[in-house]
Amino acid sequence: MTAPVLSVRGLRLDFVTRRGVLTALDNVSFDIAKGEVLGLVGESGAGKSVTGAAIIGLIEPPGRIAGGEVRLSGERIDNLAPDALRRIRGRRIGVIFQDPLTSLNPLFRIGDQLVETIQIHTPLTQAQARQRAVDLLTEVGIPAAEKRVDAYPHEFSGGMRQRVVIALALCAEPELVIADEPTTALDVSVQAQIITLLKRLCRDRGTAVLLITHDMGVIAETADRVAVMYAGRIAEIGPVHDVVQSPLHPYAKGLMGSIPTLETDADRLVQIPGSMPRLSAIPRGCAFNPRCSKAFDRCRTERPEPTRSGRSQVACFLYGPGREAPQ
Amino acid sequence: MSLRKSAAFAAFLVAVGLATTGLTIAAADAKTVRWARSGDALTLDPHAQNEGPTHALNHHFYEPLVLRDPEGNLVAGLAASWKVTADPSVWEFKLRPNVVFHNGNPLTADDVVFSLDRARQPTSDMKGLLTSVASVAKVDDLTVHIKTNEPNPLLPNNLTNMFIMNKRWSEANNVQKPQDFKNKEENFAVRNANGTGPFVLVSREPDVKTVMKRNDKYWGRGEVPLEITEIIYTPIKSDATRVAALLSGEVDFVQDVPVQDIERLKSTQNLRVNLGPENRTIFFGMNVGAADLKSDNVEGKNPFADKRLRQAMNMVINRQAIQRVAMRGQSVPTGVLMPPFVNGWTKELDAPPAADMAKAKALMAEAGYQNGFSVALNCPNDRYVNDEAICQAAAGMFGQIGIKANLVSQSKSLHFPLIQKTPPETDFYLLGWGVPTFDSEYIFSFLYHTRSGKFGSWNATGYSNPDMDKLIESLSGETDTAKRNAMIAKIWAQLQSDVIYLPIHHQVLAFAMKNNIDVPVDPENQPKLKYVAFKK
Amino acid sequence: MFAYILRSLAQGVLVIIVVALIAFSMFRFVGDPVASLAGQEASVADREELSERLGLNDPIFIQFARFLGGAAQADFGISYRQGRPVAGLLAERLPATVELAVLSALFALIVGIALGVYAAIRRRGVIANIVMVLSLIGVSLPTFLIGIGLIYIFAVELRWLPSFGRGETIKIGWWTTGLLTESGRKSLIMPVLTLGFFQLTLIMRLVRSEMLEALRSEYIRFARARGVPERVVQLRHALRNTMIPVITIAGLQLGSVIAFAIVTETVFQWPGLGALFVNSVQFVDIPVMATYLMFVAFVFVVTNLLVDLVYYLIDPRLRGGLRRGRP
Repeated sequence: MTAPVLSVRGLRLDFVTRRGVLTALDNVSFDIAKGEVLGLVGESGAGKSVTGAAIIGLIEPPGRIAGGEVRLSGERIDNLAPDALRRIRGRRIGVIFQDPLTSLNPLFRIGDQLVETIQIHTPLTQAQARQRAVDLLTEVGIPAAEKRVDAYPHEFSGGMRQRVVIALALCAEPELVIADEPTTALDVSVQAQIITLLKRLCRDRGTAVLLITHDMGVIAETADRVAVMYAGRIAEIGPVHDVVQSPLHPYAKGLMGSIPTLETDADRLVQIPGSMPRLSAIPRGCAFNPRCSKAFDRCRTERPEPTRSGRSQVACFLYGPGREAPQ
Repeated sequence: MSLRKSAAFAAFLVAVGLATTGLTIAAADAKTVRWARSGDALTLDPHAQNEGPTHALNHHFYEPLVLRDPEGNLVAGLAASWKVTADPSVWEFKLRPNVVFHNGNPLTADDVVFSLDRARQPTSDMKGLLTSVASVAKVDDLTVHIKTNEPNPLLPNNLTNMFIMNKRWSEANNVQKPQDFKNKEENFAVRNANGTGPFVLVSREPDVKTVMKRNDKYWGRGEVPLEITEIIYTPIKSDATRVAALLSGEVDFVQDVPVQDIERLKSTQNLRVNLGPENRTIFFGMNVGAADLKSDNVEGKNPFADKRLRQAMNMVINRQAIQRVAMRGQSVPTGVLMPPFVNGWTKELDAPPAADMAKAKALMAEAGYQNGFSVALNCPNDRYVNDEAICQAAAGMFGQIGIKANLVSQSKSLHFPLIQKTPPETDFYLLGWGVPTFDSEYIFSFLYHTRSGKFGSWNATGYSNPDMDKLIESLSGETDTAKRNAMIAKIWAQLQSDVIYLPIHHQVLAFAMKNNIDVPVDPENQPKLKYVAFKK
Repeated sequence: MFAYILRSLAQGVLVIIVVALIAFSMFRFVGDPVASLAGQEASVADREELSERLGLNDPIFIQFARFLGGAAQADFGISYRQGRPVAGLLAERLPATVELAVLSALFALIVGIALGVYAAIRRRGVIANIVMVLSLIGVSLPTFLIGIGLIYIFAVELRWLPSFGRGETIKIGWWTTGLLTESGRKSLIMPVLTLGFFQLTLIMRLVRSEMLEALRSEYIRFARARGVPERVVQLRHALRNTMIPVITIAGLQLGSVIAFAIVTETVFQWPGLGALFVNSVQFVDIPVMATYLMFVAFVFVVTNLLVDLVYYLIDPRLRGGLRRGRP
């Protein structure tokens, strides 16, 4: 059996502040197989983006990885020297950020930024790299790429820029793409195009994708499996069909209630009273217990670990062995 | 920057430093003197500006008929001898024979006539010293007659900065008149000089550097040391920089030494500081003539018009304290508005009045001002040595008898017009006065005579005493020295008792130099380097 | 583009005329030139006559019109103090000031940018913090104190450098330069350090804060995610974006360095325009003061225009059509 493309085990991320240590990620574990799309969902502040940043080693002080491990195709990468990790970024892991308007350096031509990235990661010459840049732009659907390669970012629309960002993420044929809210900042009309593009390109290359979003519609359409995060912990993870159609975790249930239309944004959950705790005030036991209608004493004292339930894993005392569902 | 690179950078800095150490300023030729003072001569045209630094520099290129030696004595310049002729209105000057200008032209009476006429042109700034002259005439090649409007026994005293130019050179270069500011062209004489003086101009960059070399054909060789072969004259405006340049050995001789640096320079090895009284007295003037003052808080009358009040003010000034606090000891307290070199000066007049607080308060009460009053005190802040500090100190003293002097200090270019305007625009002011003629008449004419015509142009006090005016005017025609001196004494006695001005002190000059040369202090602050000999 | 330059120049001429007018109306607060021009023995009538001859009795507007009329024909009058044509006087002093100002600006720019970048990258480093504290002292120390301090160290104590003047200069046409002689170069060192020091600290602090700002931006994060080496991220991507505000400030500072080298020139007896101006003010040399101030206005107009043009070169977003607005 081959190792999964990405394997995250017990990942813990702390922020050391003057008022004490805040835990932003706590015991996060998941795998992504070759060609698989894993959706990572949750409200703002649940730890989705931080998970992506932690995988590629771009956590800025005062944050630090405090435990667990990250493996890329079986090779441990969380403890690599900064420069070794840098070589992995862009080459073996491509990254797409949320806002294409700010992801590109406004003072450099599109082509220059592509050529720069290509030349960092491949032995191509300047001319070859430029040709590859044009090919990539064509591939991501930029018309007249030969000409547009010399344009500046501000000469592109938001959707076009995100295509350029995708081209940048894929230019070294990475094994894994981390797409952090790739469509959130875009017009609704182009969101679908971009998602379709990303999906197609990754499927063609067999690239694994970690798709971070709070848009349940995108997840339903794109992901193979989905992980629901709450307060830095994974509440539920399983095949997209199962989690979306019949979620187990009370929080996931609430979250899925927000799918009905593509237009609805699930950023704020009106269905569940209260809001996600701040990092400095995560309650004992299950982080979700104060908001949970089904919470009982154990939820307030003991922390539930992920347990298998059907094809999913869920961190809730309502499920799994020794469950004590109060009637 | 890595630590290694930081270290490399530091090493680079050290290397730059070391590289430059080898290049210390080369020792000057022993016969070169590098001379610095605060300001440059304004022009080399000898008649365009009547100003100290301008005359000081020009004394090295040009010469007058008579001049002052470092002790202030009147000595022969281009005139070998001079006397009043049988006609008391005519002075005769016999010129030195065999004197040549730098360009080789011989000095003749024509040059003297031309130069004195030029100095009386409307665009000349020297004409004020020659108002008594009616005409100048050549008698023979080496004899000149100067006819005055009425007998003028002191005419030679007015000629000590009246430089003689070469007529032929001036005509050839079209400089028969001093610079007129209406012209668009620069007058050739502004940056070129052709005199008979001990040094010849080599190069001149105004405000930067003037280089001159010894005039080997100078007529006075043998009479004066004239050992310096080259002078490099540099104005250095900043006091600290000028002193630093002397300390670092970049200049050899410095004028305008700030009083606070005198002690330090004195104690520095290889340096010498020469101190001596300057021909300049500092004093306060008051508007005694106006019916009411503009800047005071007394309605309907002028407190300064009351002599008792002025006497009280004169008594309350602690001149020793001003000398100590404001002048760092570098001044000569005085009770008369006249430096010691001046004809008419006596020790008795010079003695400062004793400070007497009780009497001063009594006089104030007698004058009806026991409760005091306030008035503005105008003061320059860039003209005399520590002028503003003098005013501050004095204001505190006046405050002791209830006179609140509100200090207004400003640049000389704003201060002097207040005094010069008619009517004057100041009630109470600080002024300094030098006496280029070395005679009391000059002081009387400008500071005490009623302001009218050529008289009283610096008298902003409004003091007007017709008897005194008559006496002052008669001085110029009096040829009997003894009689004239008696008149001067009489005028001083009256003026001192009237207390029109409050004299403070005579300024002291400090020249600092390397101790291989000895430049004597010149009372007019116009050092003449032909007198300088090197130490053997 | 060309029209823009023309329009700017036309505005510049207007600015210069207004500056001259304001200057003229303020000269009477500087004093009466006759007080300095006429000797001690001048009578009241003599002074009055001189005042009349100089046209000082005319209303300010007539004097101003006369000056402008002359200036339009490149005749700026005769200096009262030196009796020489003002234009020639200024031309004679210009090279000293330009050499000093340009070298100071280069010194400030190069060292300021280097230290600013260093301080931003090693934000928490000991050396960077020492540099920052020193720069604070630098900003608050008066220029003349720095100058006098340098003189006492390097001229009086060590005797390495001359305390005053320009050293030997070489004439090239009407220009004089101190760069071609050893004494000229040595004479430049302390004035350049003194004049450049304040600008240096200013630029350094500006570069540091702009750089920190740039390093926080999304395109920097994205560049890192693309695997761009840290040095390239800092010196290519971040620094280039930092340059826009830096060039604005530095450009305007160059103008003020040329214009207001007054203190430095006075301390070092540097025969430039600033020293000339100081002497002119003391003498109330109206033609020189007026011309100098017009020249200063001209320098500001030109540097402003140059800053705009450099802007245009550096920021592609402005090239669509040169806009006055700055980001």
